[in-house]
Amino acid sequence: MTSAAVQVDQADLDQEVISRVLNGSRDAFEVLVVRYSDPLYRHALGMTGSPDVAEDILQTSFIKAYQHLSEVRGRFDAWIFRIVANACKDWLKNIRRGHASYDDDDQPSSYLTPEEDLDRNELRTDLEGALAALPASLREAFVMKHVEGRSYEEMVDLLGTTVGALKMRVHRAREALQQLLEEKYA
Amino acid sequence: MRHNNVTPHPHEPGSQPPPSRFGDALPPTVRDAMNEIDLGPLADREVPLPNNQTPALVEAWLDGEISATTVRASQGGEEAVDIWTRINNEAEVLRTRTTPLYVHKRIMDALPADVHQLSHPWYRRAVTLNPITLIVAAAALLGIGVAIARLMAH
Repeated sequence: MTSAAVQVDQADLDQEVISRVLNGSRDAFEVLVVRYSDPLYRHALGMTGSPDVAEDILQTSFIKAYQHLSEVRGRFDAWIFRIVANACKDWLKNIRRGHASYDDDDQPSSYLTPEEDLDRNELRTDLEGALAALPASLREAFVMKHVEGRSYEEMVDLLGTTVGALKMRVHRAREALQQLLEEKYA
Repeated sequence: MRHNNVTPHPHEPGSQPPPSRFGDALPPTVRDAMNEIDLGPLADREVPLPNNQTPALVEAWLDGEISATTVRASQGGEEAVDIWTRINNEAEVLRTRTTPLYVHKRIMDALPADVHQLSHPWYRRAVTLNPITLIVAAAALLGIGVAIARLMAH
């Protein structure tokens, strides 16, 4: 089965669940939460760098989605992705203005030797710092391409722009990150 | 053929540019960069060629268009491949992260009650059939039937 066909099937299944929720079955919404929380959480984590903030963004986004569920037109996954992506960008704007707090990542990586862990944590901290210096749109493109492993075509579906524009954003993000990190790691 | 940038060899006016040696299907920037790296060992050149094409090669490699070996062969490519391999390994770790299970429960508990019950009028809501509903419906129909029969008898 092609990925487009899988997407159509998935969209039909989502539509069924949405109908049940709109007819008053609040519990049916959990199907959508379980189905889509992981990719959305990874996006929020990549954009904010903080598990606590990512969890909060996920929660507020799903609540917003639940309240406005009758307004879904087209694919639910693309619709809720845009809610989460906008929430992440708003949070980044606020943190740059100093209106939000930034917690450290409190989930250590596992199965590494202490030396590897130390080395990796240092790289993660530096990478996080370098990502934080990027404009939100470049960071978004980089996170979707490298952290979430999405193709340019998927990114186009979710962000509603062109492949050329996305390639340019990813290129500029890579260039900036390489400049920021190569002095220390090259 | 050796190249250096002290005595450059521009093409003669009107002459054809040299044919591309490989990678005709690749984007022009990548193709130029690949031709650039085919010029022999760096130590043999009088002046190192300015290699501002490495980013194009790195881009092509990161997008899966060429192999890491090709990038490593270019000037500065070795370092670029190393640093991006480390960044990609870190990204790989992030890619395996999943939502903590308690977050699902937290979201469900935080959903406002009755949002969608109130948004639909009673006649558009789904009816759940259970024994009690059936008995009530049957009694109502019987009552209506009896009332109609009495009206007709008069």
